[in-house]
Amino acid sequence: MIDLIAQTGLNALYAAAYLSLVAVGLVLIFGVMGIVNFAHGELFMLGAYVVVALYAGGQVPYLAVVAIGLAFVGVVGLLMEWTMFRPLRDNPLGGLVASIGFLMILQALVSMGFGVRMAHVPPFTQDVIAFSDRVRLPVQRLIVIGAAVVLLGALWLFLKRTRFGWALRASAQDREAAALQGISINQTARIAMFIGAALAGVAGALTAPLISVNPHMGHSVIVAAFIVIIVGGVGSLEGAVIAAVAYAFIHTIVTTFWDGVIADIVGLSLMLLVLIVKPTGLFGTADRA
Amino acid sequence: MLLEVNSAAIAYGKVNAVRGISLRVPENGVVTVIGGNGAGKTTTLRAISGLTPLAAGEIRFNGERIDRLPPDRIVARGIAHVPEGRRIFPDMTVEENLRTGAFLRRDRQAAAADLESVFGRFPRLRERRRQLAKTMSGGEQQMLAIGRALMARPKLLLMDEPTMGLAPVMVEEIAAIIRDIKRQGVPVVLVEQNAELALELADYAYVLETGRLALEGPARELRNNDHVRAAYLGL
Amino acid sequence: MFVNFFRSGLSRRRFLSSAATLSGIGVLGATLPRKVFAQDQVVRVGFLAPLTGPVAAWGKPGLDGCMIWAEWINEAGGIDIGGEKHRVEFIPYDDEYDPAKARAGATKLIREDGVKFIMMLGGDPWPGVQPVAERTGMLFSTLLPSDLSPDTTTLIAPAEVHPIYNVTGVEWLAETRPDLKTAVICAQDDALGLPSVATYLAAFEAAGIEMLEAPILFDPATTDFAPVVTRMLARNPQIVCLDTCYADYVHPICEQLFQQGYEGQILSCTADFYEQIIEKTSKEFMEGFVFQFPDFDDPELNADFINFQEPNRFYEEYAQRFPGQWGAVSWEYASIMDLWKAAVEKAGSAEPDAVLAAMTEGGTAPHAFGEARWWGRDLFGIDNALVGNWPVIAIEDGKARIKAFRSIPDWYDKHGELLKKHMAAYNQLWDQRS
Repeated sequence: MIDLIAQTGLNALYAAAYLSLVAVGLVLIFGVMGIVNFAHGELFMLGAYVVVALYAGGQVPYLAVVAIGLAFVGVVGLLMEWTMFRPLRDNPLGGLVASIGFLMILQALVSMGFGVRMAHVPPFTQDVIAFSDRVRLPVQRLIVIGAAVVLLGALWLFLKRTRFGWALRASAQDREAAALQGISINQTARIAMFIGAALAGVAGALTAPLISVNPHMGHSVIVAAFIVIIVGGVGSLEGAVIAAVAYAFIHTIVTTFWDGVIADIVGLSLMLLVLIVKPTGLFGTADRA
Repeated sequence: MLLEVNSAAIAYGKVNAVRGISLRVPENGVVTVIGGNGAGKTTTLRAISGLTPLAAGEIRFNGERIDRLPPDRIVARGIAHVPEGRRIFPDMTVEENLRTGAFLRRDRQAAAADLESVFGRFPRLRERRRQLAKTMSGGEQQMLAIGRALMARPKLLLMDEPTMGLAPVMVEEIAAIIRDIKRQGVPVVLVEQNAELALELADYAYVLETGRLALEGPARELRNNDHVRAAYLGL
Repeated sequence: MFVNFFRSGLSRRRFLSSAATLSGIGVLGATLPRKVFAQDQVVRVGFLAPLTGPVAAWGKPGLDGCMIWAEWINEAGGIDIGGEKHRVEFIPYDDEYDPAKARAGATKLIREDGVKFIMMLGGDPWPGVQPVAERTGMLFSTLLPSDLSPDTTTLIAPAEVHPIYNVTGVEWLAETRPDLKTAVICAQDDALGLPSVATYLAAFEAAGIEMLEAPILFDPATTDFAPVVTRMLARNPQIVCLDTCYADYVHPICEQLFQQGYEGQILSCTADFYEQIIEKTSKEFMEGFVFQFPDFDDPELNADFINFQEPNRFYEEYAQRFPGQWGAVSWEYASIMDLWKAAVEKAGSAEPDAVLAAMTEGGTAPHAFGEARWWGRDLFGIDNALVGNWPVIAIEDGKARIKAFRSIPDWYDKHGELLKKHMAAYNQLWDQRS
């Protein structure tokens, strides 16, 4: 039983890792730009396909591919900001609709380029850290956990210690007030979009060898990410991380000890509960919701 | 003339919120814009700060056109804006809010000195410097918003309804602060619904009604104007 | 219209001369031998299955195999229908595993394309097509006999009796590895997963193998299988059964089993693209993996009782044209076509009712894996499933090898009651499904 709990804990830690990356990216974009980026799951998918193209399909070393994936998807985010979100800045519904259109374009492009079936990604490493017979952490998963910690830590430092980070924080709390202090809305939007997209992309690249990679893989991630940011509080980055960890743990534990479908129901119920009791989310601020 | 608004028209969608108004703000003193709800006062300040584009006309600051610049460039020119509803950063501390006001400043030491003088002017802010802004009262938040704007060491200060929703005691404090700012030589454009207070503090006044300039003149004269007394001073 | 034609500048003279030329060509055309034109006698067969999406692995490879079949048949002169040779043409339609789309597809194939026979994967889309079948009397085939019901006499399941053939794997495993006494099973919670679970439960019970816990059903949208696998391994089973999981699930589940240190027996219905599973795990890990679908280059398929045209050559041709794509259904639809062609030539007609009568005459027919009987009244309410032998495959040294052929009717004669009991428990008997 201890073994089962320990292994479940390791499984949950992995799920929390990639979910936090995705959720934080989503919150950053929504918080700073006021846009609900429905294409966020497809940015995750794009990161995975960078791995398919360069690592599975080419000879590029895996960790380099992950870095490329981060940068590439970040640039795609910039493209989205430039072509869709900036022209539609004062039209939140328009931005939302545009992002839905964009996600379909991405899915179609990837399907045309790579086919609709599951893409095969060989493992980067098959090493496993065995704590005991039944408690094992594959190094591939450890990499995901480690990367999430490093990236989120770097993001935290960026937000608290750098000028750009300060600008992001202020913009996320009140965009116009931030503009009135001399913070450039355009530049801040670009930075937020790059970072938000890059986080989703790197999560996809890191998990590509571990999950089923197909053009529709963004769907389940985005649903979980939305639940997480609603529970955590739509403007709050810390809230997103804490909620992602909580959701991943609850979902993994319920799936392991009861049922995967029940776990989904529990997750949704949690979200509904938070919406009823504290609609702005556990850590959210009044405005943004 | 420090700031000139020439025949400005501003639209919200298809509706013209402000049409053909012209204002002049000199290098010192307080200019006030008064009028009822929806008269276009806030719209005008937002246009000066670049938050809302002009549909027609122009705005010049120190002779140069600023009406097509993005808001951050206008702040860089020296115009600071205390927005309607205060709009402080709720999840930042008092001190962080103030520092954000100095975002564009490169002169670290001078900015640090300014921070000290803001705390000197608003001792209550110093007491609460590490407190999250969202936990403060309306009056304290107003002081914070004003302090934040002053941190930019502005050449022109725009203030939008600074006494709105405040108790009479706080209103008096804000009035004292505005007099102080005036004494220190920073020109102010004051938008107010509290016409009595505005006409008392200001040197020159503009009266906006449904987006048009109804009256203008030295504040002293407008205080004795029949229409103003009837419509805005309740006399 | 012709008046405008003249006004637009075309002179009457030019019009008349063009008309003369065209009719001249027409006369000439009527006298030339048939083969010159594309207007050969054609018989069309519809292919209505998922060609895109998660279940495409059980549709698209089948279409690919049919294309090879069609080429071979047409090169050899085509199908003889009542004395006249006909070319075979397949008209594909992607039902995306969705009933509404399948219904639209069936209607189009029948009304616009004039097909004489429609092959489907079946499953969730079938209820959308059923009213069309009943109204038009069109002959349909499915790979999933759970679609059969007494209401639709023109639906046949001539290739596989999914999931019933899964019993052969369990039976063979129990005989060759009597040391394996415990099992767990996981499956996706959908129309494909549930009947298969019931079948495996019956097979395990018949073999005296203990189920350590109730079947673990997971959400079809699952991408991270670590929790499911942790749960399965919690009781140290000797057999892990993957039921009829889609390839998208089999791969990550096997990877997790490998990473979580499982060293026992794995049993599955399919193992599509198993070379990739080996790459994600290891040859040693996959040694002895048992499933139900052979690679057709297997020499065992050259036995006398096999009714499939040159299986090894078919596999080579397929591998050449569609490298790495060989899967469970690559040959099945082609083998259905063999059956259909034989019935058409026997009946002298391609009309659905005549073909069906010819096919089912005598109650037996040549199934790919041997002579088989039309069967299924107990489970499906109608004897429209062609059931005979089925191979059991094990992966040895990285390659799929046929280990044995087992008779499904023989198993059923011994253990049929168990199967009915479990099917009923999962509401999978024909009279339970509405």
